Amino acid sequence: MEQTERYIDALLTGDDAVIKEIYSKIYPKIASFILGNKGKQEDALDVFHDALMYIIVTQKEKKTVILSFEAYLFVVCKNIWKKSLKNKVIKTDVITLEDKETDLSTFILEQQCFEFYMAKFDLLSSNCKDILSSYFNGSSYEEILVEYAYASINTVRQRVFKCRSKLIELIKEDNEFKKIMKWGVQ
Amino acid sequence: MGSAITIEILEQIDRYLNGELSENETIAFEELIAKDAQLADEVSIQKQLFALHGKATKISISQEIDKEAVQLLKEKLKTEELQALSTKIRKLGQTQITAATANKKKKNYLLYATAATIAIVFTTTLFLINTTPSLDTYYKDNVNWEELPSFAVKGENENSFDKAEIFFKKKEYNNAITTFKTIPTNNELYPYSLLYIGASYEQLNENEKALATFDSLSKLTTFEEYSKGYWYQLVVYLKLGDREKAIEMKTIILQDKSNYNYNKVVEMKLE
Repeated sequence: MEQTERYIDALLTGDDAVIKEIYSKIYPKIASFILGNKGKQEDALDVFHDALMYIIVTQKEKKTVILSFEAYLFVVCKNIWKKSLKNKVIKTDVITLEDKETDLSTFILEQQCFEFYMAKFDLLSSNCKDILSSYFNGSSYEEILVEYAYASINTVRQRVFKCRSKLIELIKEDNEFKKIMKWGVQ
Repeated sequence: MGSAITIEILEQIDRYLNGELSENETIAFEELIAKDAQLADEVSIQKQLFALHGKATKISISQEIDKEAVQLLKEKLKTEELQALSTKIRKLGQTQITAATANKKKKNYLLYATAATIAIVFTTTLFLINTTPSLDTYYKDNVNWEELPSFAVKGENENSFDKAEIFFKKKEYNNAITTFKTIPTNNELYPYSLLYIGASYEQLNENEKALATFDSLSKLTTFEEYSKGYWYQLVVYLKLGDREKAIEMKTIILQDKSNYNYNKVVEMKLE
């Protein structure tokens, strides 16, 4: 946690030495992931830069708890790269600076939305998280019955419903929800 | 829709998002969504929840992202403070990469020079005393499964990779293998799952299965770190005391300086 706070403070204040340390410790892993997934070194540099900017913008707005800086940065980079790959298929023309700013701004909204839903999901009981993970990953009621040794399909159906209802309640009772919905992120 | 969501409505939303409704049913359901803002919100929430678990739904909802919110962020990014930070981060990144590359070259040069010197001294010493480390010593010096990259995100929804990695860390190797095997081949973490499966087999002393897994990894040439497959096969052969196979693997690794742990292998005296 101390290390995470040190990194975030360094990003917010522009501390050269610590930002260099972030690059030397974490960048090689991100670059390895991007180079292994249809990317080039310059893509990796762009993604890493954008992910750090994402952290700066969101942490400036509201300081949130990040358990592991490295793992968090990896998830942000992975999501940026996924989006970039999708955009590369759509955009064939030269990407302008204006496009890059729009892309980063859109990504910030999408990632904040992703983190909002993730935080709500994390508030569920571990049993609900397990069952809903299976369900949202495409498992049928029958498969869940076998995996978690439930007595009947109806019990599974009711359990899934109960967990989903709880999750919906957690999502809707948060004041952030209205803001998130207004963004229209899909 | 009424005030409370029912089991039937949720299941109807799922069928809609997964493209399981007929054409007529889809049209009728979309008409309902258009009229009922609460239902539209529910559909949007459920779509996000499927996406959160990496499952893309078949229906794409035509909704434009809030231009005002995007514009606000763009203006924020254009402020002097954030522009200065952005430029600084880019510059530091560039400098760091250039320095790392130069350092690597210098280090490689020094390593080659050192390796050559060591080779001369070592050969001379061999005449006086036979101190070549045994295969077992090499194995013990080089087996280190803690160096496997970690991708588990604490607090994130437990996906299969996270769960499997936790099993591995708890030394529950059989559970780790079963769970890592659920990672599909098109998943970006699939090559890493092979690393963990091989390591788990090695820890269970199922060495033939470990070798087969690392061999599969070495064949994933589109994966940046595929040569780790060679390295870990070498480690297992060292453990098994199979000198012939270890030398064979050493030869493969020494064919390309960019192979994983090339410099370590250069220094191994297996012959």
